[in-house]
Amino acid sequence: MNILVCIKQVPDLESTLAIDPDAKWILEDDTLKFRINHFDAFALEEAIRIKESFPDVTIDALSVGPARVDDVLKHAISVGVHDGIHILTEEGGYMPPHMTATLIAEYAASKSYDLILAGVMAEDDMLYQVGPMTAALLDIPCATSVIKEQLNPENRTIAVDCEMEGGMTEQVELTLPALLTIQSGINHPRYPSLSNVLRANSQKRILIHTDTAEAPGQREKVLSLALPEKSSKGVMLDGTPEEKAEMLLKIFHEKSFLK
Amino acid sequence: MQTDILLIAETIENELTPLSNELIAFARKLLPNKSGRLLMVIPGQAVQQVAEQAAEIFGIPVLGLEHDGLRYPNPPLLAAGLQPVMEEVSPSFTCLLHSTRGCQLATSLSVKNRASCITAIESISQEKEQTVFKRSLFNGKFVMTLAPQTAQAILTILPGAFSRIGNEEPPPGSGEAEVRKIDARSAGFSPKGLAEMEESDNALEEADVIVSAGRGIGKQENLDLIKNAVSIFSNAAMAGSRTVIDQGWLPYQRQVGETGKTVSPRLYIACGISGAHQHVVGMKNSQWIVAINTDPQAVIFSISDYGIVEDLKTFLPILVEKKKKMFDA
Repeated sequence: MNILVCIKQVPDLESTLAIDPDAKWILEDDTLKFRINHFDAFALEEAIRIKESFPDVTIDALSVGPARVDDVLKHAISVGVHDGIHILTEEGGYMPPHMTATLIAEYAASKSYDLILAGVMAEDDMLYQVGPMTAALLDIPCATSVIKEQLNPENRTIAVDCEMEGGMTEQVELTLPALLTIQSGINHPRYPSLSNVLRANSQKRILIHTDTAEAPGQREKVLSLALPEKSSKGVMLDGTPEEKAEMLLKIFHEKSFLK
Repeated sequence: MQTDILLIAETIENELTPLSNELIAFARKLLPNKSGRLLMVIPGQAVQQVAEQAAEIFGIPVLGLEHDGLRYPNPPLLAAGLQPVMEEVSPSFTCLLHSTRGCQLATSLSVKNRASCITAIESISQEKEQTVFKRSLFNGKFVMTLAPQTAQAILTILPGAFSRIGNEEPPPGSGEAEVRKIDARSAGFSPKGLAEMEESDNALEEADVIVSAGRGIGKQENLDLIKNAVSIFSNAAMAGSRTVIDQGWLPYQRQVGETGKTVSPRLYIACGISGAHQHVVGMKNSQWIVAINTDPQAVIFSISDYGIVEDLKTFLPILVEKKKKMFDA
């Protein structure tokens, strides 16, 4: 049984982010740090747990992006993935979901994956599109926002719990091959193991060159990226931490919140 | 030019979900000159009654699509059933809710119809005679403006973003309801049922003050700082954002946000919470909001009454200490 995990490298959201001069995406300069998309780390861990339950499973990890993306594929190998597949693009920046999904689907269609996993969304563009769009392009069943899964290799199905809004879950059974998008909290992603780190250092990633100029045309045009409009409703308290604490306590006292 | 808009409502066990109203508000904003046609699709197992009610309340034509398999949300089945309607109406805009199922359906309709797909829309405007859409990125730190490049566009709208507009306007047309049985299959996707997550803890509903922890808490031990802060208030409870609940540091019943609880206490103190929409939607109706965050760019400050740029790990102990000195002595 073969599993493909799709992972994205995203800018570290905790670092200071600025808009690039074109105002189409954030500025990707040398100081910007990148890391694995938090939701994809859960997808990666879930694949590894499936492999632990069903030893004949092979896992590949795939990422689309420029040379720097190699880091997340190396990470994937260091936590137990078999091969890292890098669909190399020339530049970083915003990539429309339809283009990413098309590149993934083209690659996946040439292999025989039984299960494809991806994070429920990317932390940077927050679109929730690439996973289900890839499934639609491949014409395979898809379940999104999965918080529990049980694979049944004998009858080639997977039973999943999908998280919905307002504290509801839906139970669905999918026939393989299928694609799941994984919600955070489904597991606790592990740290790399030494033996796998050594393997990640020596093993080459599978590079797939692509010409994004030949990829399907953009269906949506990015006009601008901007800071959100400030709703100047609030007051920022100034001073030393002690002064701010005193100001806040006076407000709490006036409104009789305090014990 | 004629602008036709298709609205895809959501039902669970043949009841419209409350957010379906927001589709109407969105459509009215999308159709300012009222020269186009609106059609609302209500999918479900048996929706005659709900379709008639919706047509009357909203004042627009409603098409019910019935299939036994639509008792529970079933995006692939609905996508297949919608395709003939898409071809018949050829809508410029097909609008769905930005929900788990809505988003899945949107991507599928986008692929089938080679249409642009813009998800989690927060606002609409006109720029140089084209309709453009704004949505948040990076936990709300930035806003992107996008324009569809195809004749048809599939859109999902963010819950809460369009709840307060258009309600006062009269319905743009008269509504009739039609119900069709659809003949479609969802190969390989079989819903088995719905379950509600357990809920036995009402602490958040009963509290006047909620002190909530986010990613900025760093590690589990620091929850004690939140607990101590809770103790200075007369009726307070501790909550957390999804990150904290995912870690298992607080039970699910204490999760505030889209996939957790919606709360409206008198005072909500957001500690180390960035202000991602998924969280904000669950607490924005609190009477007073105080935010403590190290990042002056954090979006949470834009919805707060009082903002403090400090590390909660140093600030909360000072707050608790000062409270003792000022009021308990």
